[in-house]
Amino acid sequence: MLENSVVQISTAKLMGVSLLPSSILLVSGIIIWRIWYNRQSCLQTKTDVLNDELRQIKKQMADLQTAKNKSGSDESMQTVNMSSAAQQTRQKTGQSPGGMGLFEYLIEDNIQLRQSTS
Amino acid sequence: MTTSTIYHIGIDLGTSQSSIVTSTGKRLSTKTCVGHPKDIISQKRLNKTHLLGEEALKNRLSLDLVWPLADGVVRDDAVAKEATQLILKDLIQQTLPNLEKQDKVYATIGVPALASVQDKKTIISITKDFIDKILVVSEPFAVAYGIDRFDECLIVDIGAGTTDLCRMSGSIPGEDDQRSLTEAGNFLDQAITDAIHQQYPDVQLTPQIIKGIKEKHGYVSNNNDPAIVSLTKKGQPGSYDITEILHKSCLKLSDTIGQAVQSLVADFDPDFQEILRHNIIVAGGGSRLMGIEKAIEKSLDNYGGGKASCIQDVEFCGANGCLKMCQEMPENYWDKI
Repeated sequence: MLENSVVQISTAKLMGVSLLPSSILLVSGIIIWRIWYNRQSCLQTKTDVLNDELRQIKKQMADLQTAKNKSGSDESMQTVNMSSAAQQTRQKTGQSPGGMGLFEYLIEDNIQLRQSTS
Repeated sequence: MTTSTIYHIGIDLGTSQSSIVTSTGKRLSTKTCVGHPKDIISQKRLNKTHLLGEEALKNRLSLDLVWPLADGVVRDDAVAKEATQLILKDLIQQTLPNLEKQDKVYATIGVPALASVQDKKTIISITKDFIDKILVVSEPFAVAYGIDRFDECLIVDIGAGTTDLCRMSGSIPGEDDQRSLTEAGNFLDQAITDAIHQQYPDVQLTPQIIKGIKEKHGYVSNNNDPAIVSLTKKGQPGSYDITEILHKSCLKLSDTIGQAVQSLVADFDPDFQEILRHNIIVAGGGSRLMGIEKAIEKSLDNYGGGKASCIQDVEFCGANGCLKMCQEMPENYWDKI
């Protein structure tokens, strides 16, 4: 009777010891998998958005190229201004605090500088 | 069909440090120095005809080092002009690596507020081979333009060679609105060197050591941690207390700047003096000096007080303003020069 109880208790303890680390491993594995899965989904969404944007940019570039070829077909050299933002700003300079007067002054000043003999 | 591209660049050509900002979004800053190998051994070791900027400084023992600018302008000799060309070409090449032969470079370059006609013409002549169109503008005005400050404000640009002041009042600043002082970073370096040597003769100093001390401990306020630096005397290292030396030397610079600020405030329209006093913007490498804005404010105590603030992007604020001006200049205006 006593021997039977000892065997039962020992078996239960051994089972507990071996089951505890396994369950921790299992739960950790599930958590890591969930994090990884969520991350993958998030990255996939971002990649899709970027791909959409890339497609749009490519389309715009193709349109621009077509327009450029049309307008400059008879020219041997065509000048493309790097900064379209600058062009836009330029158009607005009439309202800017500096205004066109400033540019006129700066250019005149630089012309005079080049013409001066001293 | 050949396609050419116009690249816009803004350059701040400084006595100690030069910066470039381009319309492609690149920016770069370098020491304004060039080094040529001293002899056949250094030539063999370095395997280059010249070294530029930080690389030249690092190898300075093997090089004949040239600092081509003095007091904010290119020195009037062939070596300095050639060195300036090398520096500017290198800055452009590094920031515009895809520049093709048919492409065009339009540049705006900042010079000290009251640089002479000859100084400005020198810049135009040395850049004509690699910059298609160049606009020479006052450096503090470029700073104001970069931060959109055309209203009543006072720009104090403390560089290495010159301290330039420019009073903005909603219109294009004239000569009376600007001051150019030779009391600037290099002046302060010399003052610190002289003062240290006076108190601790035989201590070994180099321009790099002084610059390091100035950047780490330089201050003009009345309460600062003690400045204890490690220096060598005949090769033997030791600790030296230079707190008082630094303070007095820095005050020499800030007092002179304070006087220039006072004079620009004093002869301004009385109705707008208060606004001007409360809108002082400190730019340039010298704005890193601890407490400089407080010192400038203090100099205006007898004038009713003032408010000074330091600009954020110290290294590129001049070049940014130059680029902005360059980009906003209408194409037909460029054609005139």
